[in-house]
Amino acid sequence: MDYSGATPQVQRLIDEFGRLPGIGPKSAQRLAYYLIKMPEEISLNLAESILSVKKSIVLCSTCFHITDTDPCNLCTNTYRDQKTICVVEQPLDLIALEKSGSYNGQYHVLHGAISPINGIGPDDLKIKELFLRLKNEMVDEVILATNLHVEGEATAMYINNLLASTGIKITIPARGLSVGGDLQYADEATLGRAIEGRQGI
Amino acid sequence: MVSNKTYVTEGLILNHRDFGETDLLVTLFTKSFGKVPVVARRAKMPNSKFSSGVQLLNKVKVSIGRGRNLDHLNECEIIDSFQTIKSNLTLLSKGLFSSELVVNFIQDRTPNFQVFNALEQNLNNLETQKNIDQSMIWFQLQLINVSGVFPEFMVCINCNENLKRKDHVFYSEIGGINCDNCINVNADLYHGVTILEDSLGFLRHIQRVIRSSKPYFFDKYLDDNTLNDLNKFLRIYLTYTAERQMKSIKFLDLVN
Repeated sequence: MDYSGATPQVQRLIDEFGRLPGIGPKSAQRLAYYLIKMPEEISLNLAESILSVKKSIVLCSTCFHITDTDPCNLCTNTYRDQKTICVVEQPLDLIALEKSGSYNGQYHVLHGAISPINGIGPDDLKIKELFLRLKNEMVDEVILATNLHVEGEATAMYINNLLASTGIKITIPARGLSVGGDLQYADEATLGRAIEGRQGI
Repeated sequence: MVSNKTYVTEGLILNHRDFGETDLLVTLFTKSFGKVPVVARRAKMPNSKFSSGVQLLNKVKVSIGRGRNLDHLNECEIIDSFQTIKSNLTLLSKGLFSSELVVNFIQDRTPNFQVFNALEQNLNNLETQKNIDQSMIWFQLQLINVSGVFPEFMVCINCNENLKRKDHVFYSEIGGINCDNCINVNADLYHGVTILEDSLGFLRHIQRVIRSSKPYFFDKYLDDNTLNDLNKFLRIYLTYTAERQMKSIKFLDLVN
């Protein structure tokens, strides 16, 4: 008989922690026993905050970012450039771009990338919603900031092909060397892109 | 120096999926060791030494460390990144379809030079945009042959009589065709597809080539009707033998 030494309730808590990204069985066990040892108040606060997030969080009906107000603060902020939309794969990509502080336009979150090998096609993403948005809003530029893997680039290519006839300026973020990186350690693909996209100083 | 704990080989990246927070589990089709799952540690980090190497359809030279459960990537050098394929959605859809076929038809850790060469040749043809449709068909037929499920096109599957030169209905369940006299023998079959006379002529030619085991250079011209017919047959037969629909077919149809 397989006996882990944990009661069914504790085992359930361990299993639930184990579902989280980056949490292995050992970490899940550690977290579960930490919570058991802590005062009840801490467990209640954690449970309440998880529930309140799940209840109050929605997807913004304009940009599809995760938000507690619809439309989200980014879409309603009139100080932001309304004529540029940056298309990203995931909400975390949006957060990374916001942290950089170098972009002040609108966003559109696709919630994934075209991945034929995993059966994910354009219909599974928020691409239709992007076109609807472009039809209704006065947009001058669309930045396709999808990830730099085959799936991300295929998504950018697909959107670019469909947007080609609209006359909207389509751009992609610069590709190449990372800040602080040594040339000698860069791989051929990165170096190739960096040389292709070289610019005057 | 290469020890028992590591091995160096060439391979094609067939697939990858997230493995933990920053790692990728890469399906690598190697020349010498067949299809192997390999963990590329920290491959999702922007400054990872693997991030560009483990991109889909890359041909790479790799050094792999043997692990207790899963092997891990030590080094990965790109030999060919097939940039033309990756910058064209039509070519990309065909390339990914080819790699999905290999994932589904080839067993793990079974070296298979013939399929490796066939896939590499197909990717090279897509890259140079040389006879793309013919190349895709030839690749799929080679894969079916290596998998040991190449159908019978010369004679009736029931009575062994030579088939007449005309259109015939092929049934995936029996892996062949019934002649006019035996047409009611397998009345319960439903995975049937009509193959045109010209397409059957081509398939018979390929069957002869395969049986002869002589080296063969595929340079046959196929008209659009035959190509469409062969694609229809291959799709039904591959789906039947793999016992599943290829996931990349939807995208293939969308962009072609």
